[in-house]
Amino acid sequence: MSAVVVLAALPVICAYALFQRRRWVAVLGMGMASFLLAVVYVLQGAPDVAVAEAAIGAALVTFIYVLAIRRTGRLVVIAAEVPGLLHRRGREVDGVEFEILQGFATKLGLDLTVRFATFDDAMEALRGGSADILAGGFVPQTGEPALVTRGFLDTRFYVVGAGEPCEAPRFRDELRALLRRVEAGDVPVTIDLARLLALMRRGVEAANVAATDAVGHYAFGVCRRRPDLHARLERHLEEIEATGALERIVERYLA
Amino acid sequence: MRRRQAALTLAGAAAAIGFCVVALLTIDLPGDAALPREALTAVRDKTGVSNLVAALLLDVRLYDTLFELFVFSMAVLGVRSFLKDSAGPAVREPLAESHVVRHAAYVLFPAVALLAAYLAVFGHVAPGGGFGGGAVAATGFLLVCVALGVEVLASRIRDGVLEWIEGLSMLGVLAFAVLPGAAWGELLSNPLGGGRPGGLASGGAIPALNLLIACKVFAGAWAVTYHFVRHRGEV
Repeated sequence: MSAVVVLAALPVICAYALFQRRRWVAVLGMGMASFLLAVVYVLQGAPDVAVAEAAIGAALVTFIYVLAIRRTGRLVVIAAEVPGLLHRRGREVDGVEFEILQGFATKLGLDLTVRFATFDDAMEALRGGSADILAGGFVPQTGEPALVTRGFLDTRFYVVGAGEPCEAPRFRDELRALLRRVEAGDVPVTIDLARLLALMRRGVEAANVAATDAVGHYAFGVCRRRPDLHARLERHLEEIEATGALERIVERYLA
Repeated sequence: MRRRQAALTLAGAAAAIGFCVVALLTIDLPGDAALPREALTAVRDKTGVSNLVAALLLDVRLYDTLFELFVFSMAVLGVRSFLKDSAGPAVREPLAESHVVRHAAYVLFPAVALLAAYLAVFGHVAPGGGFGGGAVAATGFLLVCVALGVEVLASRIRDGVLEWIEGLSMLGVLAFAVLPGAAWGELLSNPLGGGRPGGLASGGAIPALNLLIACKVFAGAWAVTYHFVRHRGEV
């Protein structure tokens, strides 16, 4: 009778594993199905077969899957931290870019992993292939060493620390580095709107800020070895723009 | 061209069906008659092994087990040969794992290793055996891989040494399977079998065969996993 109950649970567990979008959960479901099968063998008086099933099906194969999807099952995003766009909130990550990428990862059935780094390190990681997507207030310029997606949000550039607009290299790094630079008086510095808003929230004097004519848009960089991922991200951005979801996300964080 | 393909397909299908018909007509299927208890007792008395599954796999049907091992060896050899010289992408740095997983791996590994040894050593007196023991040992190593990254573990284990272990295990199995039988005039048998069923020192060559098979399965499973991972560069 017990064997019949466990056997009846098997197709349910298998169906559960089959229809999971998250690979981790599907692999755990497969392992659980093998384990239940081993229990059936024990109940039917075949402990040797049960040992083999548990050792190979529930343990060895599950671990091989875990090793295989550890990297391929993740969408690794590397970014400079920019409040509003991609930032830490306690132990969580939040922001416009995070929501966009979280939706994208869910669509692909991947787990989203966000790592924060300086812009140079982030670009290096993207070039080396240890990260899939570059984010964090990335406003592309000509000749970027990455595949660049369409812009999802327009921005303008401002010069901090100069009486009037002037030519200064664009700052693309994380907010902490920008704050240190401004506090040390290493100005003028050209920054985008998201970084300017974050600076002003930290109490930087607006009197020292001058708008320039330069405009751009926030986008994502994708590893050059992943043209397929780039195409999918482009399609995802196109879709959320068409459905109005992008607008709602932006309003939630930057309105 | 299409006609020729269709003719070849039909010929293949006819041959396959013919083979099945001949096999069904000639094979003497036992039906659902239960194996008499005396037969099982005879197997136990002959081999001195209380785990009758081990007795069947490593004595009565050693022939089948040997061919299973050959198939496994061919698979491992194929993976080694094809992936040894093919240059995969540069191995990326191992992913940082949480402290919980890392410490859990350290705590669980000795228990897993002990279980693997138990299954292999006591395979002739209790459920288990070489295949299960080897698979559990390989699982223990994969657990450490998850915590540390495969390259860290691979740098401590020399692939050449494992290759030797695997080869010598296979030779050992062949030696235990063939030599005593050849000396006593009956191939693929276990003439040294006997002893008190249920005792650790029983079953003649069967405990040694279990240990050798465990070594082979462990080394082979690790080699296959490592070569795939190294080639793909994804762990």
